[in-house]
Amino acid sequence: MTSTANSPLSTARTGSPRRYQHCPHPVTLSPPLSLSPAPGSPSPAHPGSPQGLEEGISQITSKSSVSPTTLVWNFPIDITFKSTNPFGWPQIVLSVYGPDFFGHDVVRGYGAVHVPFVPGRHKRTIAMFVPESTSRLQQLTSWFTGRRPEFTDPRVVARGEGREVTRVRSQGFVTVTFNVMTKDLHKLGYDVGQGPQGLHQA
Amino acid sequence: MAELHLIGQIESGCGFSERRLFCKWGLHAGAGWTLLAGAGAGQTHLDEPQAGEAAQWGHPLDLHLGTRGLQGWPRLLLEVWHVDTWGRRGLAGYGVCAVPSAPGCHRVTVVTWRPRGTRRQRLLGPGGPELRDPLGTATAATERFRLRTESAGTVRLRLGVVARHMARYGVAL
Repeated sequence: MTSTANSPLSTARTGSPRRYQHCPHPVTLSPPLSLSPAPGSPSPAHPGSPQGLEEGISQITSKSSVSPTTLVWNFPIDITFKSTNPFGWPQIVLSVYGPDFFGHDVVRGYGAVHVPFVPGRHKRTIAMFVPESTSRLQQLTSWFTGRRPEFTDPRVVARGEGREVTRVRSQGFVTVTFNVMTKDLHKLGYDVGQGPQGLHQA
Repeated sequence: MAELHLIGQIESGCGFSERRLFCKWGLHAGAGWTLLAGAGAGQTHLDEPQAGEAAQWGHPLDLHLGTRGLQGWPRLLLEVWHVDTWGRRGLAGYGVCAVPSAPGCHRVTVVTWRPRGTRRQRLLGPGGPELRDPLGTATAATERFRLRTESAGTVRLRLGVVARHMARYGVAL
């Protein structure tokens, strides 16, 4: 699915798409999925010019007898970023929605991951989670009204600050495939290593 | 000044005897290192996993460090805590790991341990002892021999390391 790459100067990305979610619940999900770059990430190259969409919404998908456990979006992304500093490296933010028993769209999961900076093809499995109410009363009212807590701005999942006040339930995973190319990283003195490394035991 | 970027995620924790877990983290480095940008410590959300046993945190890390020397290479100190349904929290494990010294993307598995209480504390049930000074005890090697510990779960991280100008100072990574 996605791609994006980026490098301190400019990178080109192409994406080859394949993402799905699988969810442990017996309900059928039909999630449109939206993605947006994380706050503080480098701006897309030449803002204003067509260097890729920063946000999108997928189709609504459902499981089938061929693929009873996974939801296939197969959603293509192609985006280019540029920056002079890797700090604030872009992340992809996913929010998955699906209808509840009454047909209302409710959030089924939020998740975020950094775009890999090593050139090549990378696959990332993102654990998705939903926020929980912190008070028992809110939990009760949300059970009655069917309204689950949501983030007003899903991009908070790409930020590390203020998380200690959040309670979540993790449920399901989304897989994203990245094809990453970088340009002029080395010229700026950066060394990003080569390829994915093995498992390190600490 | 040579620079180091640490970009990644505290992904998950598994193998702990408790389920509702969060993780406190902090990056600690020697005196020659400066944190140029980003948060050097933080805390993940509290996760109650519905799928599987692992607590999923997906906590982003993005740090920019500068250094004048290699001594005191940065280390991450992780503290995993659990919270029971009454909101009481107890220690689940400590773990420390060095930031990988090779540029690139690394999957790091940190094994954790926790102090083993006295027999009386163990009989009294959950809420075992904590370290008064986790930083000094967990990251320093000098005081460890006083501790009696037991093994706890593991924390998985994905750490991307980008080095800058290390070669200019003759440092091979």
